[in-house]
Amino acid sequence: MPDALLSLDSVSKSYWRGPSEVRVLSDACLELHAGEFMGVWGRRGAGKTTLLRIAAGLETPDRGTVRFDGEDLSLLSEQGHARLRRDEIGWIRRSGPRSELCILDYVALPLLIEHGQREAKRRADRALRRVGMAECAGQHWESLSDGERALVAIAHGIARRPRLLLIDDPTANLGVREREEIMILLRALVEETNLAVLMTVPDMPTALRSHQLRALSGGRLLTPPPDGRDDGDDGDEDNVIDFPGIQRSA
Amino acid sequence: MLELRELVKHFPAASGAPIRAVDGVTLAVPDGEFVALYGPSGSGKTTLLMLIAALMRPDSGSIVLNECDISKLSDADSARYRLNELGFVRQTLNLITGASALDNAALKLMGTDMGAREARRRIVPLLDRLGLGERVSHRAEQLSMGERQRVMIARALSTEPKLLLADEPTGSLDSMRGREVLELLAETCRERKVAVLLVTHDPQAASFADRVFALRDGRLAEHEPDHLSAALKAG
Repeated sequence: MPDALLSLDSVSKSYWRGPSEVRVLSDACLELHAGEFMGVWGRRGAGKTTLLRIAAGLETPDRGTVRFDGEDLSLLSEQGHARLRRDEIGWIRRSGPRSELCILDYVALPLLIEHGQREAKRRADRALRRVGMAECAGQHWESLSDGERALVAIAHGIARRPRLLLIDDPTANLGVREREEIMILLRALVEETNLAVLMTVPDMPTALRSHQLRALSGGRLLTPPPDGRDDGDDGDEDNVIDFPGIQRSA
Repeated sequence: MLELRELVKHFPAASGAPIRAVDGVTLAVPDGEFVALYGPSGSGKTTLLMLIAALMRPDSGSIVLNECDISKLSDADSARYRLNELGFVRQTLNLITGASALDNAALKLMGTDMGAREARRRIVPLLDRLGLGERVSHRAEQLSMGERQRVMIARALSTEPKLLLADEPTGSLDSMRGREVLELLAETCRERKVAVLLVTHDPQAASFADRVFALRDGRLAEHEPDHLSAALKAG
């Protein structure tokens, strides 16, 4: 199996809330390969967003190592970090920023730094077509439904053709059917383009379209044993589910 | 000058009478004046901003900016209006992670027919004026919240708009940074002769304006200084 595109090795992170130190992540480990879709479930406040921010290099762990394509993020220069976040990693937040721009211009906006206006709009149009929102290109954010906004947010995230997409659950306000459509779309994007996706999910059923599911609980990112057996690691019986019949990328 | 004339916008309600979000608003904001619309959540502030930004059409009335009726623009002309004539500063920041303050501020100019190089050249003096001269090459994620908001103000002003709309621009900031941003908006208004319309639920923020209007149930009333002082004391 090729090397992981994203790896977290024994990552820990704590915050101070008033006088108390809260351990948000505790020895978290994960490997995500190109063409894989990993869902991370956890209750509110469990640390899911922190996990994504550490994966993006936006926050530094207290301990442990984060690698992107084999590079230790802690050793990257500022320019290296900037290149990573600009070119390699796409980010989709829970609630996209409201914008007065029309949808096409909103999706094209980040592309303007590297491309001229025409090329930026061409790529934005392509991203919108891929998510089925090309007809809304001239509309604006205020006129879209929550489901449409989630699709536009995905278009915004993929327009720069990142290798890794970090998604902070844009489906929280959506109904079951719309969530399913979003997850089917993401799964298709992963398989078509070899994109790696790390996404926080609101519940287990939403995660069924992902290749792997992790549960974040008590700061721990629960992982399956390497050989698939439950070896009673730390007496932990709540283990991760690898869905049968879903192949990982070769 | 921005002129709102008997502006009305209603929304259907699930039961009974429609919601009169904007109910006969008349207001004139001359160039170089800083006007605050102060009101609680649900008072119609956001709807009014959306109308002025041509993001929705009024049911009746007109919105005239320098003799052009915004309320009758086509979708394409509305988009051009928002790009070229209007600056918009919001509470949520739409900065591109990994991009510098310079590039983030210049994005709106890059979206016009201007090339990226010229856009970057043009934005530098503005960033300097906004106190970001030493931070132009810093990435968005390296900036403080106050600095990020100033980058957004630079972006909003980059096309030399005739009107600047500010929708709770200090909502994410602490009181000191919020004060800095509001002072900046007031200075910008005076120096650039831009009409500034601030929408806020915070009486402290409203107090930076030349005139304050209270918006309640879709209707405007000019705030007497005593009332604003009372609101400030009430916190």
